[in-house]
Amino acid sequence: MEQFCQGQASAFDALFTRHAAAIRGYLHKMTGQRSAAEDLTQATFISLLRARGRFLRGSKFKPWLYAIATNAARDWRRRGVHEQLTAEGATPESAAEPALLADPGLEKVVRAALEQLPDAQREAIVLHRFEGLSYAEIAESAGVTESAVKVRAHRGSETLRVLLKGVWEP
Amino acid sequence: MSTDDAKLAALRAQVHAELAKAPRATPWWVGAVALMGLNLALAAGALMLLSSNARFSSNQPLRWAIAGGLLLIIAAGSVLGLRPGRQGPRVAMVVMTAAVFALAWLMGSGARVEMPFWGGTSCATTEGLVSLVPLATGLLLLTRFGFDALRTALIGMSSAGVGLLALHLHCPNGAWEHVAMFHVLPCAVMIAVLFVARRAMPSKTFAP
Repeated sequence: MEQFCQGQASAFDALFTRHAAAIRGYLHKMTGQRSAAEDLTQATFISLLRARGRFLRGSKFKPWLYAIATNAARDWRRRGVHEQLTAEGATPESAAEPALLADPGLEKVVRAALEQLPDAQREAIVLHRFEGLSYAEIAESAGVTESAVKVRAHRGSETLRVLLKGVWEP
Repeated sequence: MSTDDAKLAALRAQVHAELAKAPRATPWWVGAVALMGLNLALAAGALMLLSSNARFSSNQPLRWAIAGGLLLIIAAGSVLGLRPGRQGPRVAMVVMTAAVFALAWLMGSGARVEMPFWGGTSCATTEGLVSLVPLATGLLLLTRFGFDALRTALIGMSSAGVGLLALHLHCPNGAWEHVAMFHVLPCAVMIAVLFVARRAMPSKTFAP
């Protein structure tokens, strides 16, 4: 990231190669739509380029990148630029999407339940449970304390447990 | 070449072109210091143009203490509102700003000036005019971030504080209902307008 901030294009390529797939996967989980995830991945890396002066020296890169992606996903949700769902409640390109869970039926139910959570709780759960970020990294990403993230994740899990009672254990 | 590969190639080309044009990153504080400088300059200009209400105030230390608090809000609010990093300092600043705004309302001079109640609209107009440029500049700078309610509130309070400071040291009418209606309420309206405008505008980047 230091080299990228100095203007080295090869450093951007390295960052992109290392993180683009994970960010696309995360954005797919946050939006439920492949094309939206593609567009938001691009927006994330363009933001990385244009706002690289805001990266604080000494902080971790990964949480910062996920914070950009999270903000992009929030903006997308706020603007309501969603695709039309099929009669089955899936997006037209669901078949080509990477799976959140092995069982497609279960995945649909889990996705629907995640959708019902407030943004902050959903983000905490997806980042920790599915993206493997530690609570400390999520806290750095969200600009809040680690205990606040734990509370969000706990509350989100409790709600999911109720919503998915007998179907899936978060 | 698949659509994804084409998109990736286009993204890389765009990044390389932008990096070639501006290889060095602009530090985050450039915009913050510019906004702070603008706000302080406008506050100073307004205070020079408007007459002082010093002779109407019976408690000069309190009058200056509130003015100092508003000055701090104008300066620190601009910087914290645009600073990357943790939300904690922004939360603290919003709370402090709300407290200073409340003090400016409740601890006014109390001096009553005989004028029709709605004659106070000139105060609200002055405040709006003085705060217009800080608000517009703050709005533009906020579009560099994803929508963030806390940042928007802080930039709104800091910008509206410019007009509030000008009135605090200028307006001879210290009656609480006048200050509430024509000094503090217009601040709240300006902050609300900033919120609506920022929500409606697209973000240039999503970096925190």
